[in-house]
Amino acid sequence: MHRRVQLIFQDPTTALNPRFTAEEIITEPLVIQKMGTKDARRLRAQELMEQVGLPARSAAKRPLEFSGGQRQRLAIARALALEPKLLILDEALSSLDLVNQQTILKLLADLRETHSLTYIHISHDLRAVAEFADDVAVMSERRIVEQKPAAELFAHPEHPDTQALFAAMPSLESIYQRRLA
Amino acid sequence: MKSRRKLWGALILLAVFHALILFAGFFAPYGFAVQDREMPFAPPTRLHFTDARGKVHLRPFVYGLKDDPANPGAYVADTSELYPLRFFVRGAPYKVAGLIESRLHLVGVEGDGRLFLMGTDGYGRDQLSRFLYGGQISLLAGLLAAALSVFLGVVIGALAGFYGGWIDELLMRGSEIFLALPWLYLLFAVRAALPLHIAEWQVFLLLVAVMGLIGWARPARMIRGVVLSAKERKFVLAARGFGASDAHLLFQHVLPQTYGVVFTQIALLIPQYVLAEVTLSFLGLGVGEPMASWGTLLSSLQQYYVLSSYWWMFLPALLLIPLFLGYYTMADALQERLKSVSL
Amino acid sequence: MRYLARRFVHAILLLLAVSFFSFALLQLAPGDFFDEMRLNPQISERTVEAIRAQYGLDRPLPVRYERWLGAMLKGNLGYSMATNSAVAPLLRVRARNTLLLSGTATALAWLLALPLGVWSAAKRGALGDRIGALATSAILTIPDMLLFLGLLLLAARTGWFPTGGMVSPGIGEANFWSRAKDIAFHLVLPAAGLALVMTPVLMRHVRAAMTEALDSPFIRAARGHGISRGRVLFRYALPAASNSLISLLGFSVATMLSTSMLAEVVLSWPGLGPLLVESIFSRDVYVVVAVVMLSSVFLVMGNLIADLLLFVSDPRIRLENE
Repeated sequence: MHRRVQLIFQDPTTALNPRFTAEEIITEPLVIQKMGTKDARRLRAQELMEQVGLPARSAAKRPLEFSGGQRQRLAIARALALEPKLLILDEALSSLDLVNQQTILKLLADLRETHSLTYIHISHDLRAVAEFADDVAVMSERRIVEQKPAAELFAHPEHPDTQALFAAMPSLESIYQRRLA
Repeated sequence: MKSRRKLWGALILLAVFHALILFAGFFAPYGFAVQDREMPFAPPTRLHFTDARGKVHLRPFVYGLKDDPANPGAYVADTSELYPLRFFVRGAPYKVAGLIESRLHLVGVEGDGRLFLMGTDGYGRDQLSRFLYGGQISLLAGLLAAALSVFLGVVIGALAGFYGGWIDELLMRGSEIFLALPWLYLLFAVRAALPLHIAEWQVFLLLVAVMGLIGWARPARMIRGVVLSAKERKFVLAARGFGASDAHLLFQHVLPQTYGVVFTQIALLIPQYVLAEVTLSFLGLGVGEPMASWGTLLSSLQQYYVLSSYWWMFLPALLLIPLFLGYYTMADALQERLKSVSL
Repeated sequence: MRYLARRFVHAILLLLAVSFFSFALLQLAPGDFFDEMRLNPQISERTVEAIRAQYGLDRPLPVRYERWLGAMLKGNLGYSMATNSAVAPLLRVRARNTLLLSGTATALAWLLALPLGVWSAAKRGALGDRIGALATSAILTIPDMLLFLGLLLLAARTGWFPTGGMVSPGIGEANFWSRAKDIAFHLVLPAAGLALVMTPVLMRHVRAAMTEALDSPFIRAARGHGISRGRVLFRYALPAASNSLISLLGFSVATMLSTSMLAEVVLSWPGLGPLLVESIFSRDVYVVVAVVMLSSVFLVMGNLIADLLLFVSDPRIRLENE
């Protein structure tokens, strides 16, 4: 079960043990599952770091020495260690600044291709959803009120909660237009 | 950082102190049971470099002591003969840590001279030697008992905090019972339950065991607190998501968080337990004669005539001050570091 | 109200557990007083057995516990074989003496530690604070025993204070005031010594509690409103710290007996401490157990009072538990 589903938390700082090095963090799942020798694990860590865009030489660094975006990459690398099929992203971008959000989103999209992953992305960010989601489920009061392929949902939101959601998020242009008026 | 310097200063002080006691046989001029019946309550021997005729000697020397005719019981220096000090002498055999035998002593005196740097007690036993050997008993008792208490505290606190539920309830209720008794009274009461006159090493072990076994409650509660918050950390949750066993979670993630508290507790408990052993021995309930323990060294001070006439009998107590200073400073520095890390 | 009832029941249960433990201790004591009796050829074996039966020492364990507990609750604490008298009155006197000493010392210590701690927290970093910190560290590192022995020496050498005991011989006939003055005179040395031992620890904790309170944002807000330093200190910070301070009081009471034991023995104050020591030497097990139980009662009661004070002073606790 652990090998098929993994979770990325919202705040990478608390999700990583500050006393561990990057390499130790990434290889911990392998250690727990007793997979591979020490050398094999080290190689795998290097591989994964490369895949998420972290320089290999920072393997001995501790989480506090990385930036917020890099820490999230580290968390992603760790999640990929056991080659899961499904990744649950629990507001994984919320604690990052906008620029980082874009880069990490791009990374996740690439990884989706290379690793044939499926994501469940829990998010408040409609733009990210619009850009990357295949299917969207809208939740209100702990229940799913509408679930459709993305294109359909954005074109024809049916549930009043969904509509309210879209109404609360105008484009930058329309905000500016309103101010000018 | 200020706390770093304090920590290192304390560690060096403690290391020196412990080394002196570990190698008591080497540093002590005499064994702890060696009596000199002709010299009871002799004051500390003074070292001289210049003799009565004004001649300066390269090697320090001591005078013998003879009875002072004016003051019965007191002594006066006998300047007719001088006894030079010698270093690295071969003397009575002893064992380092009970294992390695040696006959090498740091200082000795030639001929009939006596070197009582801290004076003698009522049996003419050198107080300095007895202080060093006494440290082996008192200090070791404190160290072992503190280690035992904290070890138990970690085990019980970690179990209670990690597993929660009825285990937590049970263990914490148990700790309350131990905390409901004033610990010194409890220690004495348990001591009372043991036979009064038993072999020395048995007394020692029992003392350590009792002190260690009743002192786990407070450390356990503190450790439990740390474990409770540590196990909620996201990275522990993540590790669980990888299928980590409880053991892995405990040893890799949770327990390392407790190190700060553990070391601080140890640093605070050691002086407390040393004092407990000293108190017991002082009152005659600890190790018995002729074993030296700091407590037995001080117990003669309970007699008025010793208290008021022989000031050097206070010295063992005064020498405890640097030891306590070392441990308390270490505990302080550790607590400061703990606070700054958790912010 | 419910909360207090719960705490009270909790305290009772705790004491029950302690009594069980004490009783177990009683049984553990190897060889009882009667071993000595048996060695005495003038007392026949049958007499010994008869006396044992009288004390109920030949019955099974749970029965003995019941009888023992029952007797204790009725005020019969057993018989002191060494002093040939009932334990309860003996204990009453000693307990009163111990309370007199440790109560006085604790009050004294708080009277010193509270203002000093508050003041040094208010003037953090200033010369006074640093001297205070140095002084407390200095006194802390001196082993209690040394302090008490030193005081004894002082008394012996100067003759200003009596060197032990609680009353001067022959004072029994004098009037109340003379006796009271006599006791007070004897009290000075041990109480001062004990207070000296307790004050540094308390002061440090008071300072820490006040510092924490003074560092909180709402204090800064109050200062920002222009409220004077004095008012902020006493009307705002002190109440905020009172939680910790009351817990400290509870702790202070809890450790009161352990701390005073050595003082009582070294300075010959006739309290529970020396009684315990003597009874250990004379294998007077009933006294040992009674003293342990009593000391536990004091401790638990002290904690209960602290709980009560906390309940009264902290509205949050009241809200949580209503």
